[in-house]
Amino acid sequence: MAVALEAALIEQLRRQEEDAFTIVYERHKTQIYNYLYRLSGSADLADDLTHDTFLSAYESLPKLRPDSNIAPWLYRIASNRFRDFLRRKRVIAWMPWTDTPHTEAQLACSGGEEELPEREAVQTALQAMKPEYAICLVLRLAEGFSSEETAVILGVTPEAVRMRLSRARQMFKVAYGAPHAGSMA
Amino acid sequence: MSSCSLNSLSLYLDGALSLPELRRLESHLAGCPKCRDELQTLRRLDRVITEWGARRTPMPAAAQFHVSRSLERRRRLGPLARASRVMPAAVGTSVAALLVVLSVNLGVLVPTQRGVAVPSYSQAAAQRLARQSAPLVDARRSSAILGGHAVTPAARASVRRQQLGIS
Repeated sequence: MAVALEAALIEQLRRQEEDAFTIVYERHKTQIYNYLYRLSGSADLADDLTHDTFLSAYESLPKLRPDSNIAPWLYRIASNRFRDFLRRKRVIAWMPWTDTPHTEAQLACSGGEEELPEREAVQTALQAMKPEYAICLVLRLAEGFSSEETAVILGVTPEAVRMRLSRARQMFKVAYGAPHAGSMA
Repeated sequence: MSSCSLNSLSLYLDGALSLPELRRLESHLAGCPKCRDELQTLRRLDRVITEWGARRTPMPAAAQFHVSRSLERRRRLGPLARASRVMPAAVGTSVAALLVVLSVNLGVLVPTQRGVAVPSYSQAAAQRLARQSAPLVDARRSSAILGGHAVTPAARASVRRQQLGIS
């Protein structure tokens, strides 16, 4: 039933029906916003990247394949927008007056004050990792996608996702400062 | 870690090992405390990320408004209305940086003793201006020292980090 509904929604999206896109936006905006917030560590950046993700999704509706799944499709676009942002950031990183908004945004994020150091520790560890590994870890463990779904989002094979996840776990362990960091051969 | 690699522990956590591989690993784990500890550590870290991922923040109303407005604009105007919210800031900053670099290299701007770039054709006027503005600059510095309104965001963040005990 759910599969049939998703297929019908995709057909409507392919015809660029506005109501269908509104449904998709309402259904996935919180997921995508939180995903980008986790990757970027900044509420302002998450706002802008979410905006660009849905605009890009709208633009690419005619290219949406009939066998697509909506959530992985949106996450793929969001991941690409985040990579674009990182590329641009690298280009302008040499400028001495470029502030990184991370710390401010992390401290300003909503939630209990006692959770902030823990949340910041996870965020900091992820930002210390190579982006491709951080993205893989967030998709698999924070967003709860299977290896197969993550593979679709990243455009690689499920085996490549598992290999990447293995390295990502080690990178995160070291960055997060786990008790046994680096002790295993 | 001689017979079970870190990769096989990760595959074990993902439930992606074949039955023979699973049996081999479990038999190794039964006699290797080091690998059991490693597996426990990886499990704990997986849980940390999963719990961190379970917290969801609603998308701010202002951000939703921007998306709705841009989609509406896109529907009305077509591809011409395409506008990235990240791109203009990045492009603007890059262009500004390029202009400054070109200006310095072409001699349009020169650095002064105070580190302020001024046009080379008006050195005398710039020095006059610097003398006139010195009291204002000093007043701003005093305001920052005395806890006035000129405290920078970085300083605010530093105070908050100290309050939270984050080094």
